[in-house]
Amino acid sequence: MFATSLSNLVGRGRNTVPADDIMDGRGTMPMSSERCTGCGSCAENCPTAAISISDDGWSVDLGRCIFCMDCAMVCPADAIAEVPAPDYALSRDDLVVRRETDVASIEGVLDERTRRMFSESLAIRELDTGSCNACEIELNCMSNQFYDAHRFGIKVVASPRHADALVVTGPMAENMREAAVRTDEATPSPKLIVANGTCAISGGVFVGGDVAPSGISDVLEPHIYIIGCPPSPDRVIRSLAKALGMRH
Amino acid sequence: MISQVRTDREGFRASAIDLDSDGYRLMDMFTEEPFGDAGAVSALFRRGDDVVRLWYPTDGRGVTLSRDIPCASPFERRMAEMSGITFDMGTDPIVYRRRGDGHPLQKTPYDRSTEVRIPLKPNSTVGDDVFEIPVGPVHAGIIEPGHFRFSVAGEPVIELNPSLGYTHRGIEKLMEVPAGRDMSRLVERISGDTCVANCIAYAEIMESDTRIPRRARIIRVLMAEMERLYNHIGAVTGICTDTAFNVPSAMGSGIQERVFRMNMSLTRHRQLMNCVVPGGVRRDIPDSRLRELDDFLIRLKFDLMDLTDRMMDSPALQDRLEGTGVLTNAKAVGIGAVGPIARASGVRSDVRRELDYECYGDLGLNLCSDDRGDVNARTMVRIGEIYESINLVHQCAEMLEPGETRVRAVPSDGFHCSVVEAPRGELVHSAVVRDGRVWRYSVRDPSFVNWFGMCHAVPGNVVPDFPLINKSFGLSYAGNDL
Repeated sequence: MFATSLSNLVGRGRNTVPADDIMDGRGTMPMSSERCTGCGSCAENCPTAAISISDDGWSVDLGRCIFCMDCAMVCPADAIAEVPAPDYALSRDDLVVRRETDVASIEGVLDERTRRMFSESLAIRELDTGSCNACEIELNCMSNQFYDAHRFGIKVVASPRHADALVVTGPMAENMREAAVRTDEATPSPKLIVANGTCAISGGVFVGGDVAPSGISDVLEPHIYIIGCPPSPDRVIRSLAKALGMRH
Repeated sequence: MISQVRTDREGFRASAIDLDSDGYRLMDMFTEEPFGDAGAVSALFRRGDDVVRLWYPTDGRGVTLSRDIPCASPFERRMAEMSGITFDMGTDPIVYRRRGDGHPLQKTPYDRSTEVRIPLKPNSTVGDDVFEIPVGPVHAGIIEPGHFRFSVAGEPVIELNPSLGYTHRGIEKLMEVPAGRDMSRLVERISGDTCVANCIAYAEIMESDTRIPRRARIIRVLMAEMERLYNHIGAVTGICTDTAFNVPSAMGSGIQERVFRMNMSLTRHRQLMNCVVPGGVRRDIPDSRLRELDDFLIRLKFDLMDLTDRMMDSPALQDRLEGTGVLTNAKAVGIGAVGPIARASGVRSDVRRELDYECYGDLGLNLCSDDRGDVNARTMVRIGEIYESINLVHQCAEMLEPGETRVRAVPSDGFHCSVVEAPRGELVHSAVVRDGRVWRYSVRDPSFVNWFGMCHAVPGNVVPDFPLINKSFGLSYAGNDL
């Protein structure tokens, strides 16, 4: 019986994503080309005001972008293409990308002391501050047999007291503020704060309205910003592994 | 078919009770601000395909319905809190954990600076050996935030009270924009696992005066069923995880991942976001992908049979599930439960069969139901629906014919309402459009009513069974809190 069970898990081939593939795969993002006339229809139609056009040229804020590609659909000059996107950044400012930005350079590595502490094993605690649940689905997928985050030493723990990193999702809804502060206090230092997804970075589609959440950064100070709405499980693993210099 | 009936304050209660005794079920209640000349309270009732909007103008005072129709209680609490309407019977807050001056849904600004914290109400069960266990809002797993208080004497739970509202993001207020503006990106994120259903409900409102291409309708249904597939597979997997039935649990999460990958291949998003828009769908599905889908579904069915056979063949698992967390038929009817939860308690209702929205009228669909109302019944109903959904996706893929997929759609002034069967049950969106602007947008997630079902199902069970019962209800926090 055990033999058949095991074959169901691993024997049907192609199930587990090789670690090398996780390290190579990339998401995409919108980027304007030479054809851009600066008419501004993309910026007008962007649901999260991620695109801005100024004298400096066209730029997209990956901390606001939800990667819906509505901009490419409305562009009269067909000037917006999907190009490879970075997975994460270590500072909020790095997420504003222009045509001349070298995307690969956005993904930095954390300082050596942090890397030494966490690169072999990282216990993460997820903190939902009002996310729509898509990020939770993806973070749960991180431990299924396709991605198997355990092989990088990444594991999910039940209490903030056992955690090295808080992976924070959601735009910091008003009602979650106090719980977020107290979860942060319960997590022993040294710790990493990871802003997971567009909402956590900037508030995403929920900016405005009667609650006006604007991302987690006025309550917690993120060390890693993972882009995506929601970030796919491979992207989360890749971001943590690259920022911490994990071996694979 | 939607009929609108205007009454006055005095006549409202009697008319509502009449509808209720005629077999109409209360779906949603919402207000229109500002109170006075233009203020109104609406109640939506449904029986089969007949939707009735009963409404009365108001100056800020409401008519208490919950004494006669108990399932009106959560709606009254929400209206009192969000819109500031007063009821002669006092109401507890339901969404906000803090309160400032004014009310969020009023047209005058809500003053956040004066907010004070509302203390959580202790449970009413007290006694020498009664202990209260507070849980949350931050839980041990990767799940959404909510606070629960159990009163226990020994092992069994005597009372359970959930406090939700932690993920309130003010979506109904954000929806108040000019009617021509496409808000589907926000609607999808009301609840990240119900993107397609929410978006179809929103799109149907925006399309009340437009004819939508048939190909778009079929693609939408195909996507809605893919969404139900991954939700139900996730819920069944969760039952295995919470009972430490590890091999099927790992199999289930693998199957769910493959559905996500199929979604990615069909629509370029693992949770099917960014696809449904008012007027149709944004991206067509190419024929090559449909062939891939066919192979995928055949393999999926075999893998699922492997999983569900293991579950049903295990006496240890059945022992945990049978008789646990019973929601009786009377209670399910009383709280107005919807979706798989209600169907597992013997309420034979499915919006897909009753309203024939999108292209469901052309599809063959069996209704899965059970009379036992326990965790096992809810799991079995979901398993049945998984196979039905596979069947529906097959049918949709075969029905697809070349054609347009998107037209322009803008709603006319007036009241619009749409009812959709989301994975968790009946989802209701309603909108009042005035002068080309969405004046009020109301969303009633299936979880909003089903949460009260869980409060009735847990007492009498031991504390360690709570996660299992919670999982079998599989409710949304984000959709409930809006």
